[in-house]
Amino acid sequence: MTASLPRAREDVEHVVLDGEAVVYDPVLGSVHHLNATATLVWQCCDGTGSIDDLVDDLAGAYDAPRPQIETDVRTLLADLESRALLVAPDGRAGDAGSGRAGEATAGEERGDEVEAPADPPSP
Amino acid sequence: MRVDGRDIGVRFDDERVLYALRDALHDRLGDVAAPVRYSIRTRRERTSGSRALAVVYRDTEVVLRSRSRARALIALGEHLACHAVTPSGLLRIDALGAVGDNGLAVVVPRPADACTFDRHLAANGMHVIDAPALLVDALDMTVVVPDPFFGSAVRSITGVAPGLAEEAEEFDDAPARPGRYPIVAWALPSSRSRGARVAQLASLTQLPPEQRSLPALTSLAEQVHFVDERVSRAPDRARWMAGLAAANPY
Repeated sequence: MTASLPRAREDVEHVVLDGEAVVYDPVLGSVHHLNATATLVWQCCDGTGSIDDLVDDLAGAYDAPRPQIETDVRTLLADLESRALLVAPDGRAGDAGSGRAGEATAGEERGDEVEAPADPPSP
Repeated sequence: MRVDGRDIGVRFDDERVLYALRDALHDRLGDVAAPVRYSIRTRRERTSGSRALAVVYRDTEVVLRSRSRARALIALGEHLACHAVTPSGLLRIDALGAVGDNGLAVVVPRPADACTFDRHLAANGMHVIDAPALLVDALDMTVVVPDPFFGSAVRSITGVAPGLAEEAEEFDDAPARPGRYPIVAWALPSSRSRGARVAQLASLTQLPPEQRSLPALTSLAEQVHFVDERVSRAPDRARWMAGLAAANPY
């Protein structure tokens, strides 16, 4: 369940290229590629605004119907949480095992996930 | 043996390999019990008198076959080195590299037939980089082939068996020598965006938790000449790689 004041984890490394974030999680050894929309939502998660605040901001920015924006934002937040890119409601990193982009219904809308090798790769 | 805190089992059929390991890893080699991860077969002669293939196995998989025992020993060292800490400033990326006679490197996804692909490269004047993952310097866009992890070991064995070191150069499949080789082309599946390309490279890279690597990968993704790989047969792929090295767009 997403926190009422969603906050992006600060202990991950990321770069943003043309609005798309590449995020490396050194704790889980995973790499995530977020598309522009997911990147925007993730970067807006500063722990001070509620989900409703996020929806309001994005509805203004995208000039789209609020119900549609809210659905998308909640879906994206759930996806980000499943990737453990948000601080969990109890303050811990989220549960990364609960979801992968490939299993999501709109992976293209959210981005790809790739795993970084923990060991020397097989030849 | 213990390499940077990891216990790795190595099985061998020639006690000189043990001497070599002790010589090379005297400060890191502990007497530990570990499941066999690597095996190396280096016996020189078959009963028929012909030279046997030296073979390096990782688990049950053949990772290298060569007439050169020295090459097999050096390659085993590179596999073990991959368990150690990556040298500062370098990226360790899962890919296969080969160097042309002009000193330029071409990088491709590691093929499933990597242990036999080297002979196709050799037939086209390319020298494979014998390592399970490439060391890449993103600052100057080079592939780094380090001095052999077992350098002292090879010298040590050479003392026991004169001529062994020269064996690495004796055969047509001689691997790339230690040095730095500018990357002239890198084959990656087509990426939709710059971010996708960096993510793709990151997924192939052993990213140390304590080191920020994404800026270096971004630099690599921005500067290296990426190409689509459209050939699948090993001989064609090797010829294509040699052509990329020879074309030198710089």
